Amino acid sequence: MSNLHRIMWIDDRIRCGTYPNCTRISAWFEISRRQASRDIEYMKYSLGAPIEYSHVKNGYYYTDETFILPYHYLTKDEKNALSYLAARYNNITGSGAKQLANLFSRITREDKSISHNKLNIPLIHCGLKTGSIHETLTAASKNKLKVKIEYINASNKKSTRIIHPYVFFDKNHTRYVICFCELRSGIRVFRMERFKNARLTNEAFEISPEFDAGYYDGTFNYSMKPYKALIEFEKPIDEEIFKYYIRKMPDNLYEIDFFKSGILLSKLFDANIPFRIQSPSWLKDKLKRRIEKILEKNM
Amino acid sequence: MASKTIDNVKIGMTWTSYMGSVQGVLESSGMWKGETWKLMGMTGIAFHFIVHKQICPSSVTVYEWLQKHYTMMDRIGIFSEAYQNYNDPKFNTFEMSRAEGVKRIKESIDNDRPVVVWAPTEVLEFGIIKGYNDEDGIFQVVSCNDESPDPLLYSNLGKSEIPFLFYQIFKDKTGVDKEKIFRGSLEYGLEEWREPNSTGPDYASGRNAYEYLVNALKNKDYDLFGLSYILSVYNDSKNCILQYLGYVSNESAEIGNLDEAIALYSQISKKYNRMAELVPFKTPADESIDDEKIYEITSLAQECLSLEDKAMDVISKSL
Repeated sequence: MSNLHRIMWIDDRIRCGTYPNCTRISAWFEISRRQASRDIEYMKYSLGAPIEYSHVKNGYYYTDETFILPYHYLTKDEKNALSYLAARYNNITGSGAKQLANLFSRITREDKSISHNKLNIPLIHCGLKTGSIHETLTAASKNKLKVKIEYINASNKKSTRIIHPYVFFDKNHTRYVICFCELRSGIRVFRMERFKNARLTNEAFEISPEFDAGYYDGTFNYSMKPYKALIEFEKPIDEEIFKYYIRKMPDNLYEIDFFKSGILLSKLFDANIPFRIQSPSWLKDKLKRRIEKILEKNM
Repeated sequence: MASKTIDNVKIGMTWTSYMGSVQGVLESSGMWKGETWKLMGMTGIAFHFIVHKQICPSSVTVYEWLQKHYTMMDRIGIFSEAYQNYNDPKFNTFEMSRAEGVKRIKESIDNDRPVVVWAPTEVLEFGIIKGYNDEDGIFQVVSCNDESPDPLLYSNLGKSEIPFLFYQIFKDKTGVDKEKIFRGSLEYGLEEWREPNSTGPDYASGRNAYEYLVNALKNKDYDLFGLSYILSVYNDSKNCILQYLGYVSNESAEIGNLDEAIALYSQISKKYNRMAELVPFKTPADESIDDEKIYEITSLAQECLSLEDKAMDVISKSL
């Protein structure tokens, strides 16, 4: 008798209100009390069952009757579809979508737990095929392998292309992939939902010099040029803090690429190392105005 | 290294960022003085009503910019030059048109005329360029949603999520008879109302736009952010039409009786106000919304279609 069958029996007994306990479980299945106790622990800690012991009834019960046992047998396609949904919902901020991301991650055993209290759920359409395509593209991006795709564009025209998937991002409930498209010989953004097929090839790709991941900020603005700042620090800095492209120059002078002055200035303050902005002049003005505002509010 | 900034350039208070930007430029250049609703009405842009079939927020800006923006300015006697190009990676000369744009915008600033541009910040709205600095390679900009926006790099002119290089330079002004402006703007309003097709295949204009709006709501197939955004924009526009019709009614000796149209737009404006209240702007796109609210908006939109149909009939008869 498998552990799964016992768990289903325990679940059934609890739902019938018969308050099973370890003695009854061990007697019914002819297993040790210790094994029965392990089954209860497995339900409580691994499956997240809200199971508690009632001294009055001398047996176990659910504190939340809406709990259902996870369905254990996921096909590969189903798992891919759930992983895809977990990734999508996880990228939606400001809503209970995070709860769904958690749920899908738990079911697929991908631990990406995030807590969120409010439950407003946007609807994301996903078929098993989408999950499978997502898995192919994710694997291709991770292993730098080219993918052959069939794509339907906005004008409903079908094309077959070889793409090099780089990064994914979500916007307005739609998942996009930024990639190099061999057909167009350039960087392109594709909507995932318009992929009809995706097949991994054995051919490796190199990231195109056209694409600069440092400039990617989760939008379509990958072709935008960054601002460049020359900043002198009192001592060497931890370049990781900035998460921007940084070029170290002599005398603790750094050239930093950035897209938003507000974020750069916050990072400069966070670094907690005295600094002087050499250029651009507009950034110096912004810093001055920001400090003046802080002083105004506090002095 | 040259630089110049035109001070005190402010965007007009309207949800239609193009006309807000135009107002800012014209006021700064001494070519316009007056209320925003009057400019919205006289140019005719208040009558724009465009809806995407899934209520995409782009709805309000999907029309022929070059031709319509030129004509709107011409209607009120403003001579302008507009330039538009799409930044398609397959184009070989886009960089040249961008460089030409930088040159022409700087010339306009040197002539104390700010310039209207598409998306000078990451926000997909029209805005104003009010200065430049060659040393930093930047344009100073005025944005409709940020008091102190980051500047626009010369090299990023025309690059945005919707990568149009659009700028409009305002050159001069000529006097136009008020009656001609009134008639021209109202005729344009009627054309927009009866427009069989808008620019894109998924967009409808005028009375057909109501059909798209109502269908999207009934089928629950809409972009919630788009809905909240277009309701705010069109709430503002309908209110501008109401005020403008009152103004025309008082000022015009040639246009016939508009009292009934004013009464109808008064009702329409109230209904739009209610619709905009039900889905306030900045409702996050991933929020859900009560079915009851959507039902109420659908009913109000259907009522507005009927009222606006009648109002347009009255306007048509008055011309």
